[in-house]
This record gives sequence, structure tokens and C-alpha cells, in this order.
Amino acid sequence: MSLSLYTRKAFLKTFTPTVQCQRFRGKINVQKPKPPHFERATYLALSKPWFINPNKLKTSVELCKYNEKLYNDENEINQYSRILAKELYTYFSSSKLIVFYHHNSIKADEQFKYYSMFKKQNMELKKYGKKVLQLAVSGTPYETVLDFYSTPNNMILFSPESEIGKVLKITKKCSQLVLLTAIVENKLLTTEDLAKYSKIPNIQAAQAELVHLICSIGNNLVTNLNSHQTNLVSHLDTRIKHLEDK
Amino acid sequence: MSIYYSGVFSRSGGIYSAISKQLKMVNLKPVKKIQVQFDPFHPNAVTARDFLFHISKPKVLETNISCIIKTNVVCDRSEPEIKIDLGDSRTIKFLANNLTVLEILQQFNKHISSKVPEETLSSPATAKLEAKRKGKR
Repeated sequence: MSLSLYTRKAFLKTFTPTVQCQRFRGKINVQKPKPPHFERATYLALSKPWFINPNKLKTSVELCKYNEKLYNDENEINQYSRILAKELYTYFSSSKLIVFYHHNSIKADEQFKYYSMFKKQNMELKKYGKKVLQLAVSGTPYETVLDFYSTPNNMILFSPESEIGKVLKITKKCSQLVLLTAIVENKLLTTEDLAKYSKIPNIQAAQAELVHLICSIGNNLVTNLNSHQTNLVSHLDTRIKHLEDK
Repeated sequence: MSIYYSGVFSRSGGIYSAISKQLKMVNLKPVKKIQVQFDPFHPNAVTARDFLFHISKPKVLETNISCIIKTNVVCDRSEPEIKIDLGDSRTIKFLANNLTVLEILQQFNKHISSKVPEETLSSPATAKLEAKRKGKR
């Protein structure tokens, strides 16, 4: 200890008060508590919880301790998978572009790289088991998806926007992912269709192109109708020029 | 004893152990290119996809780094097929509709992996060790 601490101890003495509780009249017997006052006792008796015997309606066969189920029921659905299925269905219904991948053997590092690449574009790459997908999708328009979800090597990509070009670009970088099909705005597309669809820029551009096409037809008609008149006028002009020159 | 023992002494390891056993024997040295074509909606496309998964494992690919694995996803309900281009301009085609992965791998080993001469069969790990030893000397 340094000298400065000694000096401090010499001048500043700490004072710690000792507190001791003292009870008026004897100790409480915890083992054998006193009976409460009558009124309190009635309320306590009233508020005492009571439960129906869970074995009340069971038959003697059910109550027999040797009548145990040895194996779990395979068709029994885990509650957690129900939650997952619900989550999966919300992904299905909320995203405009759903892409299905087959993945080859990849290490977790590489898989994380893929996840992050898609995440940067606000897309979610997910991996679910078949049972969860079955729970989520059966009885909905997406039921056809189950046809090719036969192996455990499946991945699903959910994108809130239908940016197919971006997805295809990133997929090229992911060497171990094989694109199977995609659902674009509730329509199942093949890989070829997807490539074709990606070349269309977006809906606004397509609309502009359509408007341009419709306008051009009108313009053509007008020019065709006017062509004879304009021809005549130009011929007359040249004739006038000829006459003026002479 | 009047009845002699027949059969195996240990129980079978199952399909997965059989596949892994075959995978350990796979050698891609004579192979130039593997093309796997399948339609995802075909009911038997599972075989081709499983084969693709198994053959693209890093340990298998290490046997021939220059081997190209190409997948062709079609949508015409055609049967899954695996085409293997060999270095000596021969091709082997597996029509995988009625085959299992184990069968394909067995045939692969029988016709392709077994053709590799034994001198070149040293695993990369042993090759590394040998190189180390040579360096030390």
C-alpha cells in the first residue's frame, strides 16, 4: 500500500452504523403459524384455488400405467413448425418475386456469403424443410411448389420487388446455386421465361413503348393522308419557281 | 453345429453409408465434363439432383480440378439424364429416370473410376506429404 492511503486513513475515519432489528415479544414460529383471525380465515378459505382432477373423465384403460405410447406419432405436427409455416406463408404472400434454387454442397461460410449478397438487395434467402412448406402451402395457390421440393437441397429467395435482372446477376455469382423456377407476381415461370422477362425493363417503360406505338400508327395515317396534298403543293411551288425564273 | 452361419456379421449401414462408400471411390480423372439435365417438375428428377449434389462435393472435385460440372434445367417434362464427356472423346449417358443415385455411382465407378491407372491414384494428402519429405531431403 502506498503512503497516501495511510494518511487518508489517519484523517478520514469511516463510520459504519450497525443496525439490528429487535422484535417486540418473542419469535415467530414459522413451522407452526398461528391460526388467522376468523374473518381473514374465511377469505383465505374462499380464495383458495381448486382444480378439477385431470384424470376425472379418463377411463381405467387410459389411466393404466402400462398403456404407454411407445413411439411418437409421425403425423403429429410440432407447434414450432406451425409458427414457421405461418411465417413462410407471409413471405409467400407478401413478396412479388419468389425464386426456387437447388443448392449443391456448400459450406456455411459460402452460404453466408450468398445470404449477405441477397440481403444487400433487400432479398431474403431462406431454407425450409418440406414439412414446414407443406404446412404453409397446402390448400393455397402455391401448392404446385411441392412438386419439386422433393430433396432437402432446396432454397427459396423472397424479394418484395420483382427485380429479376438483379437476381439473375447475383445468381451467376453463386456458383453452387441452380435456379429451378420462379414465381413472378403469382405466376410460375421457367428459367427461360425468366431470362426473357428480365429483358423487359419495367412496367413504366413498357407502357411508354405501347403509347409510342399507338401514337406512331396515328402519325403514319396522318402523313399518308396528307402526302398527296403536300406533294401537290411542292410541285406547284417548283412550278412557280420555274415560272419566276423565266 | 449342424447349421452353419450364413449372412453378414454386422448390420447394413444403410443407403447413405453405401452412397458415401461409392463416393470415396469416385475418381474424375478421365472425365472432362459432366452435364446434368433435369426438369424440376419431373417426378424422378430427385435422382439427378441428388447425384448433382453428391458429385459437387469438394472431396470428389479434388480428384480432377479441371472437370466441369454443368447443370441444365429444362421445362419440357423430359426424363432426367446425366451426360459424361470423357477425355478421350467418348461420352457416357445415364438415363436417370429409373435409376437410384447409388446405382448411378456404382456404374460410374465401374466404368470410369476403375479405368484410372493405380499409380496416379495417390490422394492429394499423401502427395502433399511426399512433396514435404522431398523438400526436407
